[in-house]
Amino acid sequence: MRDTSGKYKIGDAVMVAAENPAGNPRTPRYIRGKRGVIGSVHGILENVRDHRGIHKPLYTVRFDLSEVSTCHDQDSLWVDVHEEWLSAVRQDS
Amino acid sequence: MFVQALIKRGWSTREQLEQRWKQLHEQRPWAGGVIVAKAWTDPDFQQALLSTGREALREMGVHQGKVGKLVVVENTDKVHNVIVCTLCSCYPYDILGDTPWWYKHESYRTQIVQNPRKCVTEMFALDIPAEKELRVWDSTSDVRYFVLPQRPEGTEGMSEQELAKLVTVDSLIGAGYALEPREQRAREAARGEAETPRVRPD
Repeated sequence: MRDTSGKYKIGDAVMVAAENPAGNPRTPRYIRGKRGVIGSVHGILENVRDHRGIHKPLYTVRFDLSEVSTCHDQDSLWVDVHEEWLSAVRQDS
Repeated sequence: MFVQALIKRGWSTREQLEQRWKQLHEQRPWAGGVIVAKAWTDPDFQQALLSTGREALREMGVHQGKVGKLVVVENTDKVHNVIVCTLCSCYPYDILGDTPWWYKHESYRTQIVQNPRKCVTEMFALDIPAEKELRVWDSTSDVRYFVLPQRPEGTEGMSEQELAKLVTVDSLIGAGYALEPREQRAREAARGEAETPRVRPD
């Protein structure tokens, strides 16, 4: 929570990169190339047990279930994604 | 022999080792139940737990772990939350103890994000009402999650100690609800005493 200087804020529409060899590899495949909305902003978190370095700010991104699976229930998936995987999407596009 | 070597080389003192031994063998109530029961009975604590996670635990007597940021998500009449780690098995084990076997199982980790309602119905016999939104939280190590289950009906006037017994591991992952008092009595009668996971302090 110390660093909240990330690029995105709650409610921003984002897209996850399809590929990102230099990014944090812990980004699940099923959300790659998918659109979501920023659900929470965590800032830069140190995690010395699992990462070698310090990663970019972390967000929890909300995806419609129908965006990431073939299921059409009106439910949602909330996935933690680091900033280097995200790009802004125009809300109306 | 090993202990003597540690002391001789100054890597540890006898007092430190004794304290560690005590810490590992101390009997204490399972933190999952203690935390949830307090949240059900103390609105200020509940608010703090939901907004600050681990910070809120610092003030109460439970063992406070240090694995990642802790986020607690609240089940309500409108939302049912389920936790998964699709990549491996990220779990707040430092607070809740040993991870249940099914949480690590590939079938759970794949199906819960493909068709969550079907998955909880088939695996846990849980029918989430259609009017509730189901939210699946996929943890990727930096943030660890658990669910604050809804307080069961018919528990008015129960003490925190009694309420804590209604809290199951499954209910903290969203794979179940907290037990109703009669369910808890039936379980206790069936197996003598309640089973709770082991927590290994850091």
